[in-house]
Amino acid sequence: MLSLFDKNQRWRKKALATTKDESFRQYLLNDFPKTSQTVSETEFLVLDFETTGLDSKKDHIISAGWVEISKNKIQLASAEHHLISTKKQLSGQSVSIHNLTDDMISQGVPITIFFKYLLKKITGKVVIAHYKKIEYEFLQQISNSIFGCHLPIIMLDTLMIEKKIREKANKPIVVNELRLFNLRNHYNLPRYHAHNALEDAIATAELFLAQINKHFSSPDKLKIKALLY
Amino acid sequence: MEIEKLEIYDFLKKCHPLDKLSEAQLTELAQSIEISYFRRSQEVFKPETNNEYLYLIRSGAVERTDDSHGLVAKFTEKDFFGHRALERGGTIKKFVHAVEDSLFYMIPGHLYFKLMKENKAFLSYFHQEKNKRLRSAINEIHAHDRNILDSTSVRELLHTDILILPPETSIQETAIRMSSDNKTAAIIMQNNQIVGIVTDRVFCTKVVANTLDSGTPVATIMSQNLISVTPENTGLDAMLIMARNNIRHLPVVENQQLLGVLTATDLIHHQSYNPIYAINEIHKATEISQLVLLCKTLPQTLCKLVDAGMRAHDISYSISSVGRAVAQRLLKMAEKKFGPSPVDYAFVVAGSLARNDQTVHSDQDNGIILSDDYNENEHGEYFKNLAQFVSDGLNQCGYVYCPGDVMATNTQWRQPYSVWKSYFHKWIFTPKPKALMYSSIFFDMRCIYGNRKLLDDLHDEIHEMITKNKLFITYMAANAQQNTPPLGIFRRFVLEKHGEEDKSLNMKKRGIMPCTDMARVFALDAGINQINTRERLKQAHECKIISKEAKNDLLDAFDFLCLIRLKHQAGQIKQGKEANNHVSPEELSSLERRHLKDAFEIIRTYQDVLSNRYTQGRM
Repeated sequence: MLSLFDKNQRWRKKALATTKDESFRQYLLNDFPKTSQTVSETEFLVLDFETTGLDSKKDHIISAGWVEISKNKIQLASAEHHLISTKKQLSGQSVSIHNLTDDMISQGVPITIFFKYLLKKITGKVVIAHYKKIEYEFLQQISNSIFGCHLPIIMLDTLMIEKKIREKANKPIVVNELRLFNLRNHYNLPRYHAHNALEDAIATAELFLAQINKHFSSPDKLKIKALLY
Repeated sequence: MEIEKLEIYDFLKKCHPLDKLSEAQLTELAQSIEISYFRRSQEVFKPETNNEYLYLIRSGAVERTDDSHGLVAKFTEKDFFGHRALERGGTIKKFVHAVEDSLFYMIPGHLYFKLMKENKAFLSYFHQEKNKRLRSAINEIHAHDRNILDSTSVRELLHTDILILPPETSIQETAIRMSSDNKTAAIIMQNNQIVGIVTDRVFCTKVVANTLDSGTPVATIMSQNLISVTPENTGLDAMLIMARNNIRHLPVVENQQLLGVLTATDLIHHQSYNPIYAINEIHKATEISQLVLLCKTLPQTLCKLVDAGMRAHDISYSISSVGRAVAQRLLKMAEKKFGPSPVDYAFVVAGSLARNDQTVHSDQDNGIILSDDYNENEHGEYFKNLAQFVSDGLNQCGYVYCPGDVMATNTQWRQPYSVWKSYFHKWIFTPKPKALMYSSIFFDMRCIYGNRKLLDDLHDEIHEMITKNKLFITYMAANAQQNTPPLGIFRRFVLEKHGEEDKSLNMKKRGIMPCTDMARVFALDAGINQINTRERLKQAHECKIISKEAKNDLLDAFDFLCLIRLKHQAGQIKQGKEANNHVSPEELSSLERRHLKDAFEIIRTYQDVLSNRYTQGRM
């Protein structure tokens, strides 16, 4: 845990020394959530990106959806969904997955504007994603290309949380079992059919609440660091 | 964010009463939802803590339990809870636990109160008391009460076979044509233009009063000041125009073309579904075949009464009046055929007809109380014939023979006064199951023909006997609990198989009969002579047998059940089916289903009250 703290601190210092961008500085100067605080005390932003592929260097974010959790409740009022503009043509395959057309995507928000807006939203919050590697790498990639430095951020991963829960219980993990929609089934969460970034973010947020309530003592006592994998 | 595009929004739209919210209301609601998750057996509500939300179960289930952890209610997907606490300012009174892993959509309290104010369906769904909820539902149904003419256009009412004459026609010729065509009015037209109208009344007011020559052209007497209506006007509009102008004929004009004429008689005819007309015709009938024909229109009459938004008890009363009239007319015919009766008798009907609860054709339940002057050898044949004639006639008219043989044709139910008295004595003092069954039938007895004093005296004797043996009421009370409302635990409907049909709710046996049975017990206890269930409940309250609340609750439940049954039957008739009492939950709206559950629950509650009052401690 210390290493994450150290890394974030290091990145923060470095970023503050290099960037002059006001919105980024605001983000950096604000207090970060402490990993020693409890889930109940923490504000979360559950994030999901739809991307053209898995490689953050080559691929692009098509859309982003998020919803916030505070006081252990998902706040639907905070839900947002944005299309991100990209000049790159989409490969036919990913279009069919996400049901978005080139036209719809080209109407989106430019990535720089979007990113600064997102920074404002995640200020002081812990970010959650399912299989956070994708969101994390894209965030770092964008931060690097816009500001030329890393983005200090605390992120939880519902997939990793589930993996740890199962490891602790000595339960074997079956192929595909940790996928978001299979896990939801496991927690008696409703089946969602749609597949867009916001719908996935809400689905992930619900999964997070389910995990917390089902496998840990009480969100009033559960600390963030116990969920950091 | 476009919340309307989310699956959550679709889910909300499927949850009654949220489906009745406007788009804007639903969007506001969706946007303010907070989502929480509770694992199985986790406590959601604890007494004496505070709740600020209306909970909607998205998945999972919860149980509400009292202090001793006795189960009070179970809620599952699409159910709401928490509103009771909101209504009392937030204080929680009962435990709520998740019994499955559950996801809840929480609607903030302020929004709940806002919607209670803004949306009627929302209000009536969450109304605190199920009895109040039911009452507001009944009122809502009758809010659509309207004069049937209001919903009928002139186009549907007008008649097109009109007498058209040129203005130069002589008044004599006009009179002859009107008389031969059997018309009360003629339209005077020239060059395809309406120039006037003459009605039969003008021959009194202008022709005879002014002693006009018969050769005078009709133009001189026609009224030129033409008041007309368009086919789009409603029947009610037309009626008001007639009343305001004191006229009885209205030309119907569309695009300056004469379409037809609407007369006051047309308007009356349209209302002739009114059973008063049928009853009038019944009393004029001289042949059974005429009665049969008149009775054939009864199902259509029922449909029209239901469509007109009449109250259930008014409809049943109307239909019962027809049933009574048919029996009375048959008795008159019988007396004409077999001669005047040798001794006094009272022809009595029992069951729904006696209670004025009849819907469409039901079985005939009847009997004859003969005067004690009756002598089997002398008079037996006469009354046997009379009973047979009436019973056969009723059967032909659709009031089929009673399967239990409770008919005047059965010598058991065609007996002198003293024998009837001994029947009741036996039933009351040795109440065996069969006795209780007969009691239920014959305590609802109405004299529709003959000397009604015979029945009145019998009623007095019966009350006398009951006062001497109050235990009998206990038995009747127990009997009144045999048919229970079709609700399982957790307010689920318990469906029954009925013949070929899918599983359904037996509205008569499971709803209306329990009400009727309870009302009878109260009537017996109060010693009142009312037969109609509603009257019995009202009178029982006057006699302080039941509280005002009980009276109102049971009246509402009874009215609602009767209304649902009538609507169901009207629906069947329109589909060309035989009307029955078996309502499938699918044919009800979800709001109706909920109100029906309320009604059943009210009945169940009062059955328990009945049990506590009469059965326990006395037996």
